[in-house]
This record gives sequence, C-alpha cells and structure tokens, in this order.
Amino acid sequence: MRKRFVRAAAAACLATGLAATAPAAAQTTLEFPTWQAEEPGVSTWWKALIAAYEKKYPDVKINLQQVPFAQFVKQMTVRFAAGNPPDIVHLPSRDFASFADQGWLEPLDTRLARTDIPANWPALQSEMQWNGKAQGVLLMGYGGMLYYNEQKLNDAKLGVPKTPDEWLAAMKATTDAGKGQFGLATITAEHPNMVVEMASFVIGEGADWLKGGKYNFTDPAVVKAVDQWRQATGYAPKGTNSATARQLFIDGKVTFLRDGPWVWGALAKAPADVRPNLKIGALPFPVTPGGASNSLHIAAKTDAKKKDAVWNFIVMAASPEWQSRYALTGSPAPRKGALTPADLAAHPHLKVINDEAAKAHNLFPEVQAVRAEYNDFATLVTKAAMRMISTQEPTPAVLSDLQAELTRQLPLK
Amino acid sequence: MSSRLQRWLWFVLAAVTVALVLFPIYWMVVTSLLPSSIVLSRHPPLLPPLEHVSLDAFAGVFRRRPVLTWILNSTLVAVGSTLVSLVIATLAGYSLSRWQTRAQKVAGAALLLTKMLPGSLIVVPFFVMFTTAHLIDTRAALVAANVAVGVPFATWMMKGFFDTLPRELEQAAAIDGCTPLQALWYVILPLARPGLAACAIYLAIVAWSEFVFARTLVTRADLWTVTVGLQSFVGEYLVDWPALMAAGVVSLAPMLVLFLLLEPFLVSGLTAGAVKQ
Amino acid sequence: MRPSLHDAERRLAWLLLAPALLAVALLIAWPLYVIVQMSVRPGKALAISELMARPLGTANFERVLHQQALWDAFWHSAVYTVGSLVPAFVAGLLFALLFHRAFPARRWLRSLLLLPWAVPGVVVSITFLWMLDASYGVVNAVLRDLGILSTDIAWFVDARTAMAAVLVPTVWKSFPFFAITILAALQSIPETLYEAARVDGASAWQRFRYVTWPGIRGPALLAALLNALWTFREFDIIYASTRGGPAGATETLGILVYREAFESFRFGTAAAIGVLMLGTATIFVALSMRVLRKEFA
Repeated sequence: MRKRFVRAAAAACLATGLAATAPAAAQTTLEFPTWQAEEPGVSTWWKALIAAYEKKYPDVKINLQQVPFAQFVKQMTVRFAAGNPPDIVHLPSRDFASFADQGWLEPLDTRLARTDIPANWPALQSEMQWNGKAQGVLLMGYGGMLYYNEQKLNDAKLGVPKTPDEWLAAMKATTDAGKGQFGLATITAEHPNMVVEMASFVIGEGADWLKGGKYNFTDPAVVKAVDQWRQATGYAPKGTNSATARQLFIDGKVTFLRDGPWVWGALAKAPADVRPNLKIGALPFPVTPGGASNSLHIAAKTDAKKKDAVWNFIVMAASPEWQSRYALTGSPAPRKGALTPADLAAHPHLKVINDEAAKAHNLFPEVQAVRAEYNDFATLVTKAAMRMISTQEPTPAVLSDLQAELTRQLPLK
Repeated sequence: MSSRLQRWLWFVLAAVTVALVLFPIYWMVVTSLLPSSIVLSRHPPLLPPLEHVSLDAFAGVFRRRPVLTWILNSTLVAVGSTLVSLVIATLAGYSLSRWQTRAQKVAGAALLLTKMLPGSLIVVPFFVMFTTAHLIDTRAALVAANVAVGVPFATWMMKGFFDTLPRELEQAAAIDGCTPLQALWYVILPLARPGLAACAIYLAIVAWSEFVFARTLVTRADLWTVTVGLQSFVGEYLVDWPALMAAGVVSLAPMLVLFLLLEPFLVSGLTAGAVKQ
Repeated sequence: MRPSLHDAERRLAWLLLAPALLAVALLIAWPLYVIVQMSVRPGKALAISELMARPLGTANFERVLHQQALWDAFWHSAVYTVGSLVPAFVAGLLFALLFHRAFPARRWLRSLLLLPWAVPGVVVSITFLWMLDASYGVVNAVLRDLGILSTDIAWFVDARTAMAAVLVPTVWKSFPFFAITILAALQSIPETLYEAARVDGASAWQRFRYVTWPGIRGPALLAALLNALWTFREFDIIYASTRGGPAGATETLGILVYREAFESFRFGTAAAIGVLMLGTATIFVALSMRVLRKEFA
C-alpha cells in the first residue's frame, strides 16, 4: 500500500511538477498579451518592433501572445484583480479609465516629461489622464471608415452613399438573404464592439447619448439614430461578431463594412477576384465618429527593473521611425508628421484615413463616472442592442428601459 | 412473424436510431475534412464528396493555434487529477466500505453537496483562494479543482465496488498473517481493478472536458487546456467552420478513444453504483 | 498495555479517510464558507484581499433580489432543467426498452449509444452551433428541403428560439445516462413476471404499467433527480454557445453567477446569487428525498 501510495504520489508530483514555474532566466522576459498579435498589417509592425527592441536590448526578451479581442479586457481584468498583471499593458482606450480607477496603472508623467511625446502627440492623448496623472501613451486615435465593395454597387447601379438614408437604401438594394448576399456586415452577436457600432450612428448623426453629463437615451435624435442602426442590422447576417463581419466583407459576401482603418491591412487577404473591388472611404454621416482606439501602459505592480524595460519599449514604439512605419500599415499614427506629403500622395487610402482621423468626434463616453465603470455601461447598452436585434420590441421602449436601468445601476452625480 | 425476423427488425431500428444519435459527431468529422467552399452551401452534401476530402483544415488549425500545447495541458491536468483523486478515493472508499464510522454521514453529505454545487459558483471562491495562495495560472490549481469535484463521486464508486468484495477475503488474508494494509494491497486491490478502471475513466473524461475552472483559474495562453482553446477559437473563426470542426475533432478524439476502449468497465461501474444507491 | 485490535483498526479507518476528508474540507467546505462570507459583505472590491475585511450586511441580497435578471435567471433555469429532463428521460426510457430486446450487435450498438456522454460540453456546443447555423447549417437545409421552413431560423441568435437551441445539445448529451441506468434496472426485472402477465392476458401497455414501470421506477426517479441536479448546474454548453444571450434569453442561474463574478467583477452579489441557487437545490433535493425514500424503502 505504501509503495503504491508513494508511486502514485511520485507520479502526481511529476505530473504537477511539470507545471513548475519557468526556469530562472538570466535575462528578463516581458509578457505582452494583445489582440493584435495576429491582426494583418499591424501584427507585422509589432513583430518587427519587438525584433528591433530585442536587438537593441539583448538581455530582454518579449513574449508576444495573442488573446481574442472579445475576451481581452475581461482576461486582463481578471489578471489585474488576481495581482498578476502582464508586463507590457496594451488596452483598448475605452477601458483604460476603469483600470486606472482601480489604481492598477503606473503614472507616467515624469517619464513622459523626458521625451518629446507631449509635444508631438495629438489632443486625444489627454484621454490618458486620470486623477490628474497621465497613465498611458496613446497608440492610435482614429475616425471610423466605410469599406465598400464597388462591384456590388456598380451591379445595383448605385454610387457611393453620401447620407445615411442613401446608405440604408444601398444596403437594402444589395441584400438577398436567399443567395447569401448581404448589404452590411456588422456585429449582430454579443461583442464588446457592439456599442461602437451603435454609437457610430448616434454620434455620426450629431446626437449624443450622454449629453451634458446625463444619460440621454430618450432624446428623439438619439432614438432616430439608433433606429437607423437597427434598420441597418436587418441587412446583415445574424450572429456575426467583429471578426466574422470582417471576414464576410473580405470574402466578397457583403457590400458595406463600417470599421476602423486597421482593417485596411486585412484586405490584402481577399481572394484575387474580390480584392480589386474593395475600397475605403468616409462614412456617410454628417459627423465622423471615432476616438482613441488603443494605448500602452505599465502596471503599477510590475517590478522597477521591468518597468524601465517596458518604458524603453514604449519610447521605441513612439519614435519617429517606428511611427512612420505604423502609419504605413494603415492605422493613423499619433506622432505629428509621421506621414510625409509624399507618403500621402503615394497612398490615397492613407490620405482619407488620416483626414477622417483628424475630423473624428469621440464616440466613447467622456463622463468620468461612466468611464470608470465602462464595462457595466457597455454591458447594459449591449443588452439593449441585443434586444433590438433579436426581438420586435419598439426602439423607444427599449431605449427608455435602458435609460431607467442605467440611471438605477450607474447613477451619475 | 418469426423470432429471427423480429431480431433483425429490432437491429435495424436500433442501428438507425444510433446512427441518428451519432449524426452530430459524423457531421463534425465530415465538415472538418472538406473545404469551406463545399461546406458553406445552402444544400450541404450529406455524404462527403470523396475527391474533396483533405486534412487541410487540421493542418490549418495546428498552424494557427498552439493546439499541441492545449492537448499537453489537458493531458497533464487529467492525468494528475485522476491519479490524485483515485488514490484518495480508493483509500476512503475502502474505509467506508469496511468500517462503520461517523464519516459515512460526512461522505454522504459531501457527495450530495458536490452534486448540488455548480462549477461556475465554486470557481469564485477557488479564484479567491488560489489568488491568495499564488496558485493562479498553474496547472496545480486545475488539478486541485478537478480533485475537489472528483473525490466525492469516486469515493462512492469505489465504496460500491469494495462492498461487492466479501469480508471473508480479508479474514482469509489475516489468517495467512497479513496486516489489514497488506490485505488491502495484495488481496483486495487486484480484485477491484475493474472498479479502479471504471473510476479512472470517469475521472479522466470529466477532467478532460472540464471548462469553467480551466477558463477562470488560468489566464496565460500557454496554459490553456483544450476546452478553453476551443472555446476561444469560436469567436475568432466562426465562419471558418471546417477549421472549427477540425479543432473539435482534435479535442474529442482522445476521449472517444478512451471511451471506446474502456467503455465496458465504465458501464458496469456506473450501473453497479446506480443500482446500489 | 497493547492497544486493542479494535482501536488499531479504527485508527486505520480514519487514516485511510484522512486524505479525502482533507480534500473535502479544503476544497468544498472552505470554499462554501467563503461563498457565504462574500454574500454577506456588500461593497465592490476588485482587490480580493479587501473583500473579506468589509463589514457584514444584507445589501448584496437586497440588490440581487431587486434585479429582474435574477428572476429571469430562475425562470430560465427552471425551463432549462425541466425542458431537458423530460425529453432526455423519455428518450432514455425508449432506448432502454429497445436495447432490452435481443438483437445482433446489441453490445456494440449500446456502446455507440453512450458516446454523447463522453463528448466535452464545449465540443457539443460548437457542433450544434454549426448544425443550427442560420445560413449554412444542415438542420435548416434539411427543414427547407422538406418544405417545413421557408426562411432560415437563426436558432442561437433569435431570442425566441435560443432556449430550444441550447436544450437540444443538452438533451443529446444527457439522455445516454438515462438509457444505461434504466436498462440496468430493466435487466433486473425477472422474466417470470412478464410471463405471468402474458398468461393473464395483459396488453403491452399493461405489461409496461404493472410490471416494467414498478421495476424501474426507483432507479429511474433517482436518475431523474441526478440529471435535474446536473442540468441545474450545467454551464459549459450554454456558455460556449450563447454565453447566456441573446439579450439574456438563455441566462440560467449558473451563467448569471459567472457573469456577475468574472464580467462585472461583483463577487459579493455573485456569491449571493450562488447562495440562493444552493438554497433552491437543497429544497429540491429534500423534497425529492421524501419521494425516493419511499421507492427504496
């Protein structure tokens, strides 16, 4: 019995012993989980940047890990809550405030003062302020873009829409569900970006669901805009999330896609007969919706030596050379003058992307209390959005329920 | 109707219904062997056109995701937790079978409790406890969690098995000069091998399939188990059904093999336990 | 004086039990205690260490009981449990009756029948996500070809059909359990009872009602209780397919607890919901025990 026990215990120990912590390394390893590790276009930039960094600092290795966007923020929150944050903190900027509010992020004012970032970064960098301290470096601010399949528009004898009504009409004309053809690819399943889709319509029409620091979901202008969004989802396949929506557009199955400029890199993966038809342009809204997309941060709990290494990485990413290369992937780079006039002339898509980014009006909440609890806000709005997609309940009723729910669960002082 | 004809009719009915029941597994395998263009059709072919069958989807899955890492993690956790649970449960089951102690009530209560306790609830205190013990993001945490769920049921299974072995065996061993422990090791355990096998398979299948602990107690991508990896796959590649089904086949295959090889033990084990309860 | 054999044996009995008792104490009893503690300490704290230091209060329960989501979740749990138990029971019973007959290859077919049980919940989910896909799923295709459907049903995405969509994989995975337990019980009914009934002129239905059913009732009802508890706790299938959506249409109590804890990060209210869940399960088990004790008395 004893022998068996010992043998079994040894085996169990061996099995679980293989889970032992990583061998003590002479070098430092920085853990870098991100949703962009495999995103076409920007992932090449990350990998090149990491290679250059490791060359410059041979005693530091960076471990790039892919985490799907849909789970990214929740996983990061769990890790921070468990006291186990990653070394290089990459966040969607909309969620930055809730992390900063917990005191999880390292203030960066002193470090920033020693660089030229404050001088050369756009106004959106102020979004990285929380409680009077700068706690992140903006990596990208953008304006939403309209991607369209020109072939389908030509077949329906339509031009590129310039107003929301034209856009909805074009979606309708090019939808034939029986043949698996749809006018729009948008998010019709629970996904963090569902709020962005809805907000794009609202902000794009010049309305605001957080006017004057108060919830404004029952404003007729907001209701009208949300209704347009709801109509648009009727021309889209059901049950798609952000990744599948893009895939459908790239495969040539839908006419329109509203998304950020970063999708430009993914278009290269389209089949040869579809690629020439895929174009980019401005959204047919009077106002361009956009905002701060993502940013880099350092966790407060990381040890001092690693913090320095992470800061070196951030500084490298912000340097003129790497900012130019970033801008050339299609996403607007924050550094002033990252793209030369020659670049813009050579790549017309970059011009429209950067123009829209410059005009963009922030679609993310700016009310402090909402930013600190962004996850709760987004969950409630998403639930209302799903109600509108999966039931026939009238829009004003759903929105007034949402207003009541938000007022009750996330009161604004 | 002749009895022979009757038997064949029952066979046909049974075969057809079993085929229908197993259709989802069949469909998963077929989809994983065909390209997207054939599979994404408004009239999918129920029988795969053999000229298009290929393993491309599988190659793609292994290329895009660290599936081998997932399989390794699942295996380590399943083996580790099965071993630990089996040892603990065998000792406890033997004790409960041979000696009437107050512990009977505790064992009964513990079993009932684990049958009522949802995994998604107990993972909350597990998360809190393991965070404090710095066990988050370790396979040991998953082994512990699976042991928590496995020990009560396995104990009852082993008790049921030991109950079927007459006390005379130990008495005979005692006459031959064995201590109680020696009797257990040399006489009883060899006879309980079917029970041990049944228990082990049950524990292994449950641990391999486990999802909520693996998803919550481990966040580092290199420690994901097969179930967690598969679920994350869903959001990303929802339109790439062949790849998703290939990932499903890979996740399922070890369990299918285990089950088909060792099912006789499992059935006799479960039914013995159920009838006795 | 030498300790008596009896004492030595008792020591051994407890020694053998010790690891199990330790495991139960550490991994079941203590966590339960933590759950109860968290449920009575209101206040949001994402830092785990702060949570336990907060003062006692019932605010978590008050908040939870006022949330419509909780009552919806109770309803969804009830529908999900009963909605999967009944079809699984009926299917299991029918299969048991069928496999009680003698026919060639019965052993092999019976093994195959049990396969769904071995499939991980997550794998079941994705398989049915594919089969019930709105545009390209085989189920919609067959229903269209048979003329039953004119447009596609978005099974998992439409709030009206989502519950049915998650019930199908659940029943598929759980009916084999009924099949084998009822089959085992069937095989213990003496053939002589059936012969006597036939001699008395009983019809097939009467034979079932007066010979078969009494013989399997006990194990069948016990299996029903165990299955109900399993379904009540079940998380993987729903989470991997709909995550409780769309718009909470498939959000059972188990899903709600998880989302409250790991998506909203309110551990206190999650624990409160958990306590309510356990209370419900306990009441249900207590009531069932009364019925079952009669069966096995």
